[in-house]
Amino acid sequence: MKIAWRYQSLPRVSSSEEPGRGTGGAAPGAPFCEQFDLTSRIPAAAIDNAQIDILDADALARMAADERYGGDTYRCVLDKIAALIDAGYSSLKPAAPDAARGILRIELRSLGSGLWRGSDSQSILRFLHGLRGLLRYSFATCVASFPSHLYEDGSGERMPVVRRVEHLCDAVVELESFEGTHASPADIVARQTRAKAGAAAQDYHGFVHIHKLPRLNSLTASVGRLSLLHTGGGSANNLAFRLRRKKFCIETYHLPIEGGVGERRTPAEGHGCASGRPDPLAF
Amino acid sequence: MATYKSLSAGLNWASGLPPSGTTVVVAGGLEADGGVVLPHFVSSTLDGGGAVVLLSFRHTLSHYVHIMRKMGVALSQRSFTFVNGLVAADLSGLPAATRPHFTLREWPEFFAWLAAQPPSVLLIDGLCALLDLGHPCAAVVGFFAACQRIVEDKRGGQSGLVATLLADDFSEALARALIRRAHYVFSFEGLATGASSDVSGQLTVAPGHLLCQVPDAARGFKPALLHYRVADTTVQFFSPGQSSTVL
Repeated sequence: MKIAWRYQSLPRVSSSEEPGRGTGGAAPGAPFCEQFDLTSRIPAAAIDNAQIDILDADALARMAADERYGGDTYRCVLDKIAALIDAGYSSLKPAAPDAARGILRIELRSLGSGLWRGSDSQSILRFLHGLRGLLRYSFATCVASFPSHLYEDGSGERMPVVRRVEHLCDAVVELESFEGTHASPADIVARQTRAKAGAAAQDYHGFVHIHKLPRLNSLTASVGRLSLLHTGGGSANNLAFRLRRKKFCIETYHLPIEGGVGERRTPAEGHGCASGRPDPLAF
Repeated sequence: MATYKSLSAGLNWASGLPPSGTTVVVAGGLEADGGVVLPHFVSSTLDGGGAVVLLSFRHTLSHYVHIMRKMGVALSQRSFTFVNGLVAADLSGLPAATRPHFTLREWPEFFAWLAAQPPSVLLIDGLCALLDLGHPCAAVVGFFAACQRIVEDKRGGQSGLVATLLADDFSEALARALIRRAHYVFSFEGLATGASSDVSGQLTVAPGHLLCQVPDAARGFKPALLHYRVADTTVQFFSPGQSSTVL
């Protein structure tokens, strides 16, 4: 019996979970790199076997104090990254016959914060330009966090350098937290009333803004075409995030039901036409 | 190239290119990248028998090779020269198909090399990167002017200069200076009404200061406001409200 004949040409969607291929704490059956349990710990053996280079603030300060850098943290880090890439992740050098190619993942925390000292105000721009050049000819990727709130003038407007930083990056994602923003009275009551704690837990914790997507070897961003969330613009890019104990969710933001889910949707006894009271709309 | 025919028609450019010896400044933004018009200049010049020199501060040669290949243009078989402005490293280890023909290190060296090239259209992608590298605005304008003189002095073929930059508060002085030295100005912006899946942005083409100074030169040119949609293999330009999805 064909009930939904209009859907017969669409691909079938399996209702059962496929065997998972994820590692490192991914939930069983989840596609690779889509779900990650924030409470799971990386096994100590995996950490010991991995090649991890950490450049903490103290080590960075000692290296930057060298007369070659003159306290310029950006140049120091850029040279360090260049050395790491040159040690086995450069696409300009052929790989050794018995060596397997790996991916170098670089994380830069709070780029542009007070810990990063440059020779002038454009040191960060030179750093990003140099970093992009290094990454283009390497098997490496870099994720950097940028505290944009430190680059706001007295009126709350962002400084022009922030836009330049965005332009020098391939992808730009902004997390706008609701914390500290003006809360509606309903939210304040929800946080104060334990009875509605369940409803408050459904609330989002902030917005996700996708300002830029990578466009390497193409005029368009292939990631955008494949994404179920970023459907091309318009009102579709209303993304919000929720930080749970075990996961970080990014979903399309929907306005909550007017009045909340706890409000009665049907009239109680004693109200309405059935109670014998005259309907004010009847004529 | 068929994808840019509507752009050529809208600008009244029969060959798809401005007159030889002219300068075009392409200003874009984070929401609308002006680099989408570079394939048009590359293909139109090559189809007309001219030569192209592409100086890029933003991408590698493989990036442009892939884009042009998706549009049906094989750069390896044409008079196409790529100048690497992104890195100063030795790139001789790259395969020939993706190896730059020249690397920009010292400006006088580049000027001498450019002067020795045959008449060609010089495309500079990401000129504002020189500001990011710490060069003062006056120096960047001087670099642009030197390239402009070298290119316009060449005779015997299609020549010109096309420079793209990101126009924002940081590069406002540079953008203003370049517009005063350009014949045509392409301005790519996002839609004022918000993002759309059918329209990637809008393009405003206006005469530059140099074109306005030449008597009767601006009469054959009409400013245009076009919307465009960028796909993986095509870029469609159309009048506002005339996109294929609407019609």
